[in-house]
Amino acid sequence: MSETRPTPESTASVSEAMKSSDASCRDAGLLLFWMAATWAVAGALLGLLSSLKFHGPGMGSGAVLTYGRVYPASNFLLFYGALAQAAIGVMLWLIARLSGRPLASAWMVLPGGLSWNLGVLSGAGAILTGNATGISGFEIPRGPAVMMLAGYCAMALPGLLTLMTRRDKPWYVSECFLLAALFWFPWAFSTAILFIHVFPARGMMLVLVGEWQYSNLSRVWLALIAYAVLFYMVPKLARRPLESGPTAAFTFWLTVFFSSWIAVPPGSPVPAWLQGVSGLAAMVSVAPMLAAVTNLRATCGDQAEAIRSQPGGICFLVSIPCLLVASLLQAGASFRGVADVLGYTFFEMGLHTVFTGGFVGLTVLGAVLFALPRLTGVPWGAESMISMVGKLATGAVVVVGVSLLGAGILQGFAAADVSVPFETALKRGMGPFRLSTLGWLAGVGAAVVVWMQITALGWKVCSVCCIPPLFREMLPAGKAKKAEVAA
Amino acid sequence: MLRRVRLLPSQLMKSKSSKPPAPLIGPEPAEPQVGRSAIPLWLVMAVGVLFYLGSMYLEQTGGGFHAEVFEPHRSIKVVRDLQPKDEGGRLIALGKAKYEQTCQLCHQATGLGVVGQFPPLAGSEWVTTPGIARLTRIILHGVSGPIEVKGVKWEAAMPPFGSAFTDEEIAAIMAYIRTQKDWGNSASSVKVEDVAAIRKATGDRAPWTADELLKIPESE
Amino acid sequence: MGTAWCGLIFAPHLQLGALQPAPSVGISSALYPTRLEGRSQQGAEVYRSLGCAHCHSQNVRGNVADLSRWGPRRTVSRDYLYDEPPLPGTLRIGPDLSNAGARQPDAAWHLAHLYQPRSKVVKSLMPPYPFLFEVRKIGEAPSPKALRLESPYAPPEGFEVVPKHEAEVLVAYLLDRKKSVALFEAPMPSSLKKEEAGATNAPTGAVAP
Repeated sequence: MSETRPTPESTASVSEAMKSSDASCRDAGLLLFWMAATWAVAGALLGLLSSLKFHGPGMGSGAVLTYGRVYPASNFLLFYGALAQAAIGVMLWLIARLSGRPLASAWMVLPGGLSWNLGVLSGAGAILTGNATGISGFEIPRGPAVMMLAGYCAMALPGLLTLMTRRDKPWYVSECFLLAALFWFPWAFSTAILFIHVFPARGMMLVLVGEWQYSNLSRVWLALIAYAVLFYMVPKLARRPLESGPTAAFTFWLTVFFSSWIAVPPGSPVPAWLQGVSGLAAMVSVAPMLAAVTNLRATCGDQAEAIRSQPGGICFLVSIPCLLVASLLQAGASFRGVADVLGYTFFEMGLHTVFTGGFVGLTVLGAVLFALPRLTGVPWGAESMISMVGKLATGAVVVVGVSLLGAGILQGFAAADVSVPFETALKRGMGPFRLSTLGWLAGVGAAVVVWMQITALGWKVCSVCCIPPLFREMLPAGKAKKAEVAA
Repeated sequence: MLRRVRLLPSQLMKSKSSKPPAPLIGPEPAEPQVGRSAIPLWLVMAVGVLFYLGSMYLEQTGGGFHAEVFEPHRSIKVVRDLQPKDEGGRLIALGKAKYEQTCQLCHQATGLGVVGQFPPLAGSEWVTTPGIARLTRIILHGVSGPIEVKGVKWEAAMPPFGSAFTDEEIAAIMAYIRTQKDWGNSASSVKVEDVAAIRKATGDRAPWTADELLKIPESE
Repeated sequence: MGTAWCGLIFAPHLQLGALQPAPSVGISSALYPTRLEGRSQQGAEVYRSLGCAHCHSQNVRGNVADLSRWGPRRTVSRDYLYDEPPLPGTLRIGPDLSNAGARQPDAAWHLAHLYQPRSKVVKSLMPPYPFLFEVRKIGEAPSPKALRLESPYAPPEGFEVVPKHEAEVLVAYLLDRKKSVALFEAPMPSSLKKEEAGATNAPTGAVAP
């Protein structure tokens, strides 16, 4: 329950401001979320295929469909094509809302989005045709990378301008997160382009730069956006104030300072101090995570049911435990002894799924499901479908994450025992791994359903003004209306 | 119908807001407020504890930020101490490592081989010959066909390892297995140049048979 | 933002950026590493483009298990100096390949394994790479490069499987994988305990090399 009841006038003016800022993000939101859903379907299908290959390695022959290309392509499409793009859309929407004014120069998002998506398309094509860089975390060649960076800058500029000309009102905590997030992506991404493509570093520095970039993007940039969404949506849906602003600021500063250092995988062939530093950072990063989780938990109170009843609300409820689990496991797995057992197994894949897919992915999905009807003024086609998206997505993340973590643990312990032949150690993890294919199936289902819903919603919006009157008459809906008018 | 077509998005929104809200957008909950509770003390302490633990971990494993300290070594002093001390010791250390990596898979760490599959090296007359001619040839080009080792007949099928190892590595392995006191071998060590000379003299060829090897004098 | 850049990009660059080949601590006075020769470099391109690094690591860590299985010593930054790019991998669904050339020096084994991994390793999870090979009618005489395969993987009667250029250079690259020269920062490890040293990587049911 709100502790302060807003006065009628302020409610009305807030409501008007909110509507106009939502409406200003309509085109941007539609483009980014629809393209994100499209890439999500493509990425999930490729992910399903790469998971299926473990059931029968001979599946899908041919160079383009070989596992070594399908797997990085799937990762790339899901991370950059779907998740990052949707996160940018959510970031812009939230900035506009919290600034209390329409998105400034919103037209820039359209060419920016075009450039980004062209980059994603050509990047995925490059990976599938064997032109990947081979550096994990930064597989794309120079051209697509530059297109994506340029696209991002064009998309982020409206956000920055909006924040700079925001209405005179107190800063909400999420705005600080979003301001930092605006800058974090180009900083990390441009460093990677610079040191991998423009002035290539030698030897292990290339790998280090790629890992640093990917870690910063997923653990800081996307995490900042996800935190911003959670700190906004959870109090809003629970109709209670955010428990503690200072604690949220605590989360912000510690995430920004420490999470950016968790880049070096333990066991890497780099001087030992790099892994020590990353381990220290991973341990300290548990604190901001705990701060956020307890803050949100206290905010939610007994209103979990209220949140769950919203379409897509279950995403928020599951993403918070995902954050908790992933951060604790990350800290634990940074220790040398643990990493010696769990390194190079499916455990790391599972950790990535739980953090990036679970915490960030589900949060952004929940935000998209909440925001899109409000941006466009058109409700979702069917609430049951949207609930299903939420359930499928959370189910997918949990099943894939848990099964990979389990597979990794079994594999790791078997491989650490030198009396076990390597092939046997590998096979020990296969049981749980095969379960993850079911998770991928659910993920494909969620992606397809959300794509269909967004397409239907977008069609309703675009068909109003984008299709010339002449063609509208030819459509069945147009013919029906014509008959109606004539009658 | 034509009038409706020309509606701009904002007008569309206005017309919708005058009707009761569509069921699936629902009434918009109020914008969230921010509570003012202070940061819990336990969180601040947690940061301190975690930072302390992390720093201890870094100190133990960081190797003093030295560029040449890699896991699992703890410090540059440890790395320095691990450097081999003398020429002969260096060769045998290299040979031991190479043996453990490759030869051990068949001939076992104990040098006893596997009954019925791989002949032993411990106490083997082929290993402890006064000269290195036979042993070098075995490693370079392999052995096939019947061979007798320590009075037991074997059907040899050892592949060639000449291309897998350099001359120093072969010399090192031979130095190691010839001088392994644990196995009861105490033959002489080996010189790299001798191995190089034999490789040059024999060139590329099929695996040796026991008869061919026995024709070469032991003392060479 | 800047602190992490300094800490994880700039500082390591100061340490690793100017890395040069170094003389081995062993006997040889030759510098290590050396640039890959032509065929191996081409093979490295094939390795990268097929994404082999997504299943195979090329990094021996410092723990007992890694040293026993993939040894003889842990890999360090200098090992990757001339790998463009280095491919230490992130997952080990297949054996570590840092020392593949030392462990399995038989090119014919590698070619047959690439064509159909299950012909060499029972129930292998590795996908086959038939597109790196050509199945063609035997001409006047069988090609000396033809793979020797047993049924059910052998080609039909009158046909032979011949590696294409990509397969040959890839195998040349694999045979070149030997990261075992002793360096100052990577001395050969002291003896492993006898029981620990009995590590076996031989796949169950595989044909002994």
